[in-house]
Order: sequence, then structure tokens, then C-alpha cells
Amino acid sequence: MPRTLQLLAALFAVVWTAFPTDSQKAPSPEKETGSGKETSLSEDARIHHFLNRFTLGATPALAAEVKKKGMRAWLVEQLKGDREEKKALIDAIALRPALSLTSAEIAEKYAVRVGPDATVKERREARRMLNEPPRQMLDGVLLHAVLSENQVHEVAADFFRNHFAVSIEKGPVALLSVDWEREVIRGHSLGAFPDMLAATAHHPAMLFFLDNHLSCRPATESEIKEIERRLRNNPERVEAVRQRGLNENYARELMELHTLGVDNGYTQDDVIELAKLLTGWTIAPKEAKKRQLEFVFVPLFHCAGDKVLLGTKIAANAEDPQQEGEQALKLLAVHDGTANFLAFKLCRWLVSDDPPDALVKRIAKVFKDKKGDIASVLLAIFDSPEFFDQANYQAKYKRPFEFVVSALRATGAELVDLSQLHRSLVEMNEAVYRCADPTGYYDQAEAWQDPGAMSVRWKFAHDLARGRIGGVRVPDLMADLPEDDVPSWKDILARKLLCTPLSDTTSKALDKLIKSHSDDNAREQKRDLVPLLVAGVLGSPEFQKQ
Amino acid sequence: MKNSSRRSFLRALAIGSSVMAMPNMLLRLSAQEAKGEGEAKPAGPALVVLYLRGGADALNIVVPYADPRYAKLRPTIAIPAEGENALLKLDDRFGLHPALKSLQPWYAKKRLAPIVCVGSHHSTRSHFDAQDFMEYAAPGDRTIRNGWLNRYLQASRGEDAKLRGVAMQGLLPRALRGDYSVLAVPDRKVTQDGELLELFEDLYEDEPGMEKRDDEVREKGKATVETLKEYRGILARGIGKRATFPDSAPGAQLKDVAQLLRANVGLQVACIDVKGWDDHVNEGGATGAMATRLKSLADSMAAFAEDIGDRIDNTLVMVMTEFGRTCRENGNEGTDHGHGGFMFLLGGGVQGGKVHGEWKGLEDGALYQKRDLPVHTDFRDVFAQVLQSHMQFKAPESYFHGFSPAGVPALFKA
Repeated sequence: MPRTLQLLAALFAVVWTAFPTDSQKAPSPEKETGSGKETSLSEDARIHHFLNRFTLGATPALAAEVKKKGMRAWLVEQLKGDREEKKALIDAIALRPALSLTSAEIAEKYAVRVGPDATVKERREARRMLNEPPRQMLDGVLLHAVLSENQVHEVAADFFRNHFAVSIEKGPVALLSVDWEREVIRGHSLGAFPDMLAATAHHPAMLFFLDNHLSCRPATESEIKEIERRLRNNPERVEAVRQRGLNENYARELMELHTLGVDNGYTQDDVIELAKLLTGWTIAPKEAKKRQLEFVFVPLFHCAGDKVLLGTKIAANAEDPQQEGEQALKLLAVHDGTANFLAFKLCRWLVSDDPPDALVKRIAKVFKDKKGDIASVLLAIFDSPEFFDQANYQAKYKRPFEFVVSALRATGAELVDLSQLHRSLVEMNEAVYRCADPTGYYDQAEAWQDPGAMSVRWKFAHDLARGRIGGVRVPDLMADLPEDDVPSWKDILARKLLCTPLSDTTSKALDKLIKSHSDDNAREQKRDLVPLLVAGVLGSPEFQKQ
Repeated sequence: MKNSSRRSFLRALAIGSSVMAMPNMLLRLSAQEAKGEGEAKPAGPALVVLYLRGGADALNIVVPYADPRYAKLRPTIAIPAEGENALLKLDDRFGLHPALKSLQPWYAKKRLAPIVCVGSHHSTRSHFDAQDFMEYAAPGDRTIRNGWLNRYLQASRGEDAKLRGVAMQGLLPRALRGDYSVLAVPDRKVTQDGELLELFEDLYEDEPGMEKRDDEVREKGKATVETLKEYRGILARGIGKRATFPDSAPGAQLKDVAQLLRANVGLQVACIDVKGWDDHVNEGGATGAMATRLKSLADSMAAFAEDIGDRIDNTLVMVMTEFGRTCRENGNEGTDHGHGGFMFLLGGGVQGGKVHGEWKGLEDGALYQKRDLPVHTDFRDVFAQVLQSHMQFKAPESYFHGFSPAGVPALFKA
């Protein structure tokens, strides 16, 4: 009993609940197959397409490298995710020491408790410290995305960060997010899906974000009386304990968002059964009065009895009830519905907003045959004829994150302070790790094309080109431009920034711009014309697509 | 082959999805303008909602200074009843935070009505849930995806729907999301640079040889340019004397709303988010962080009311927040998430000069869970009363999804 009380009392009194879920739809069962027609893309266009989808931004250097090595060989090497990083990234990461710490070390170092007598200054400092780990984590996400040599790993991490979305806006998730990003997301996104699923389910960030830490069997009357007696000075906490019971939030999202997909062969009864299987999977401070929360299994919280999940009986395991939940996770991880749903989402991410059923079916089979090996699935998508189908070329709209990262990669920007970049993503409604909905951010064009967002992109492009984004240094873009041949500038910039020729409309618009600046002197051209040309390329319709 | 069900599903979810109908909306708008200003119809009622995000500390906004418990609960952040920076007394029970000075004359003119202990009976202390529940006006029901004001626009739509709803920000607040098309104002900073706007107009011209429907990006870009230009046009049509708005986000946004009202384009509902009210730390009292925000809010509201002149008689400004905060201050000179909140109603036919809502004091027994202001007035009763008395709209039985509002007696003049 004392152990229960200790744990109950330690748990949070505030009941957070996650958003309703607007989930991605599972593939419809019957749909026309993809065209499968011969691709008519040129080799350069194929490389451009490949880099658009399998990296977070094409650059001329990368295009040359891939051309030399061959796309498939390059991809196979990338799928190992172990290419040595450049110094710029290593140095930038080294400036953010929290990134290499465990959650325990972070709690120890950054979550400093201040006494009741602390001055305002001390409190402010304590708060600043508390914000450091998530801030550094967010910097780490952008730094890797822009600078990493392992770009395929970055694409996969971007996908799974949204697939298993948690938000640092929700209580202790902020402090736990460093470990989550490093170990769960980066650690598994080219690995085996069942391992990744297990890692998410055992992570305190996920258990808190989706409220599973609150889920338990209802307390008995005698337990409540005892708690009331012991906690009589703390009516809130007694109330919190009294209100505890089964919380279905995580169980539902685990099936709807993480594995099977919405309405994909499970019922409300399955949700309840899964919630029961996962009772007792909660979080607690490692030591009394410490702020580090870790996963614990509390047998006393667990619902006894046999359960049936998706038609499979999971027998009560009185000796080690945690194993019931482990069994459920294994069942979900290799379920046909999971293979279909993950295949669908990955094809949508990499091929088209509306991926052909035949492709999804084939990829689902690979997912199943390879036991959820993500690298094999990515390679199979590349190998499929639909990938290079002309219809899919430039057919996806970049999400704000993809737009910002690709613009930074294209300009070769040096990232000294990333706070303004994070703010730009907030303005574009895709703040990293701040999606309140457990669905993660949408990948499909329709979610991002409202006019508000479009004009923010244009402003970002122009600010970037003019060096007006604080903390971001753009190299001198004049360097490659021959002073005596102004009309050639647009094509030089296009090759550098876009890695593909300009559309006729863009070309015409930039010609007009160059003409209107033809009377400028060299200094004015550098100051006004070049930033406008760069903004024009980065803000052009073709740069919004991938 | 398009999967139409998925597409419409996504469309319904998409952020700012409602903006998709915007070019049509602008066409309607232009058509209306083309009719000429001579035959302008008398302007109908308008509602401007300011949502204080983060849970504003109601107890330091409408201050129960006469309650001896008040000062005791808040040793460092209480607003003094007398002396320097004293609160602005409204009656023998309540006073306004001193930073709200510019609203005081409106209270004296009986045009401002504060409501105390108003909010949701739902027990959540989550910002997200509380805001959701309030803006969808359906506490606890996560299946409702049409905001309460979107439902109004939908239910009251006439044949010639014009620019009826607008969010003065890039992202629609949930109150305005839903089936009815509402304009979310794009980033206007781009319009300040004429050359840049012209460049993007050129860039998003039709590409020769490309079928229009194959190039949604171009269509969206074009719509953006058009919106920016149209919107700039409306805002440029300044008429008469303008009040001085404070140099703050709500100031600039309310200035634009005032301009839209002056332009007489049929505006009925405008929403503005005012961010930053989650004062867990260093909230301040009569001065400090929250006081600065309150001053910006009050000065913006007062400037707006002055700016639109007689239109204030049928324009109602509502200030609301998802919940109030703990009555006791915490150990960080701030307050934590609470329960009952407050509202301000300014203008229209509101029965001002009086503090509305039941008040039972600050003794533990009168508080919610012995810590927060209780809820004596359900926010939906206020919403229903505003729709009925101000917008002249009797909400149908199903409007509040199972809740039958009793309204708030005497909130509006008979």
C-alpha cells in the first residue's frame, strides 16, 4: 500500500488530454493501379526528382555525386546512415551540450529547483535553464536536417517525427524530448519498425503525451478511503486519484495513428482491451523529489483478467503483467493492417499525395516480408516503377519544414543562431515538435496551400536573400555571378539553387526584373537585384514543389 | 484517379481549408464594390472577438477589492485598492486593473459590461482542450469540428454572402473553422514592398503549355497575390478621421477591422488572437508583464471604439479567455491554470456600467476545488445571448449540441 500511495501521489494531478484525432486515412481497398507507363524523364530530371524526395534539398554538389555513383548505390550506402558528418555540423552540435545527455543528466543539470526565498533573478535563470534542453533539441533537428551528410536518414527521421508525434508544449515532454529525438526518432528511423514502436511505447514522453500514465484500474473504495486519510491536506490530489481510471487515449492513437490506421479493422472494444493491456505502463520520478520521469510498470494499476485484442486472446499474466502489453505491441507491429498503413504513408511521403494502390500493396508486402525493416521498405519504394513516373515529378508540395530546410541548403546558409528560423516555422504553422494534434503535421499539399502560408514563404525567401534573418549567414551570392553579363545571372542562380532549369514563366519574370534594374550600378545590383532574383527563385512555383 | 472521399476529408481538416473558396469570395466582393458606394445598405450588426490565449488572470482584471481575502491570497501581485497605481473602482465590490484606464470612460458611459465567474463547467485545465471546447462551444465533445461562429455564418447565410467572416491573422482560430468559408488574412508585410509583390505576380502567371488544373501551386499563388492586392485596396480606402491605435499586434489588427467596417464590405464576424496570457511566472501586479499586455489591449479597444464612430452602436467587441487562474499566487509571482474566467462586452446594445455575473466571494468554500474562481455563468449562455440580442439570430435547438442555453438576463438593453 505505501508504494501505491507514493506513486499515486507522485503522479500529476493535472489531467491533460490530447486532441481529438484527425487521422490519415488508410488506403481504400480498391483503387486503380498506377499508370506504370515508361518514364520519359531525362537523367538529370531523374536525379533531381530522386534528390527532391530522398534528401531535404538538392544541391549541385549532391547531384554531381549521385550522378557519378549512381542513384541506387548512393541510396544503399545512405540507408546505413553512418556517413561521417562534416565539421560544421559536429561543431554546431558540440555547442549544444544537452544533446548528448541522458534524461537523468538533463534533469540533474537543467531542472534546478529554486527555494522559496529565491530572487526574481534566480527564478528567471532557473526558467531559462529549464528551456535549454528543448531549445537545443529543436536546434539539433534543424542543424541535422540542413547539414547532415546522411540525408536519407534525415528524411526518415522527418517522417517518423510526424508519425509518432509528441509536442513539447505538453508539460514534461519538453525535458524528455532530447532523449526522445535522439534515441527513439533518430535511433530507429532506419531500423526495424517493431523496435521503434516498442521504444515509443516505453518512452515517458509518449506515455505522458497521450495520457497513458494516468490510465489504471479504478481504485477500490477502501483504497480511496486510505488515500483520503493520508492526503487530507491535499484535496486536489485526492480528487485526481478518485478520478483515475481507464484512459483510452493512447490505446486509440496507438492503433489509429501508429499502427493500423483509422477504421482499419479494429473496434471500440479493441480500444478498451488495448487500454486495459497497457494499464500500469506509467511514468514516475526516478527518485523522490527528482524531476526526471522514467517509464515504470506498476502492477497495482494493471487490470487483471484475460483480454482479447483484434480477435487474439492475450491471457492474463499474473506473474509479469507487463508482458501482456508487450505481447499486444508485438501483435500490432507485424499486423497486416500496420504493414498496409505504413506502406501507404511512406508512399504518400515519397511518391505522391495519392499513391497508387498497386504500389502500396507491393510495398506493404515488403514491409511484412522484411519484418518492418524500414531501410528495405525505402529501397523498395525507390525500385518501384511508379517512383520515376513522369506524373510524380514535381508533384508534391513542400511542407514548410521542407521549404525552409531546402532553401537553407540551396543557399549554403551558415546557421549561427536558429531562433529566428524556429519563429519562421511558427509563422508557417509548422513549428517543429509543437504539433498539438497527435497526428503530426500533414504531408499533403492541401494542408499547406492557404494564401497566408504562401505569402509567408515569399517573405522568408526575400528575407533570407537579403540576409535579414538574424543568426543566419548567407554566403555572398554575387561571387558566382559575372559582373559583365547580368542577363546570365538568373540561369546561374537557378542551377545553383534549383538544380534544374527555370520554367518559362519564372524565366520571363526574372528577365523583366533584370531589365527593370538595367540602369543600376554594380553596388545597387548587388544590394537590390541579386536578393530579388534569389527570392524569385526560392519563391517560384517550381521551388515550392518536389 | 483521385480519391474524392479522402480529398474532401483532408480538405475539411486542412489548416485554413476554408480559404480555398477565397477567390470566389473576392469576386463577390468586387462585384459588390462595382455596384457603387451610393447605394450602400445600412450596415448590420458586427461582432469582433478578441481571444486572450493562455488563460488570462481574471481576478487581477476585474478585481474584487472589497473582499478581504483578495489581498491575502496574493501577497505580491494584488492590485492595491488605494494609493499609487490603484485599481479603477467600478462599484463597491469590483475595480478594473489600472492598465485598463482607457476602458473606464466606456464603463462610465454604460457601454462596457464585465462578466465575472464565466466559463466552462468542464474540469479541464488544459489550454488546448479548454480553447477547443469553448471555440467549438461543445465542452467534452471532440467530434464537433465547426466553430461556434462558423456555425453562425453558415446558419445565417443569405443569398449574397460577402466578406462576412475574417480572421485578422494567417491562421483561422477554431471558432471560425468549419464548413463556411472565412478569410484568413495573409501576411501583409509582402504588400509593403511593391516590387516584390509585382515579382510574385509575374512568377505565378500561367505557365504556357501547362493545364491550369495541373498546377494547383500556381493557382494558389495567384490567389494569394490577388488577395493581397484586394485587401490592400480595401485598407487603403481610408475615410474620415482615424483614431490613434497603439503600436501593438492587437492595435494593428483592430485598426484593420475598423477599416473593413468603414469600407462597408458586409463584415459580420472578425476574430483576433491575443497571445501570451499564461502567466505562471512574474505576472506582475499593477505594473509588470500582464499590465503591459492589458494596456495594449485596452488602448486598442478604446481606439477601435472611437475610430468606428457610430458603428459602435451595432458593433460588439467581446473579450474572452479559456479559463481564469488560481486565486492564490504561486511561488513564482505568477498564477497557475484555474477554472472560472471573465469576459468583457463593449459596444452594441450591451447593458454596461454594471458588473454582470454571480459572485460568492473568495472563501475556500466559494471556490472551485478550493482554489479557482467558480463558474456561475456558462459561456454558452453568453454566446447565445450575444447571437440573439446582438446578431438578431435565434440559435436553433441543435446549435449548442445538447445544451439549451438560458441566456444571460439583462446583459443587453431591452
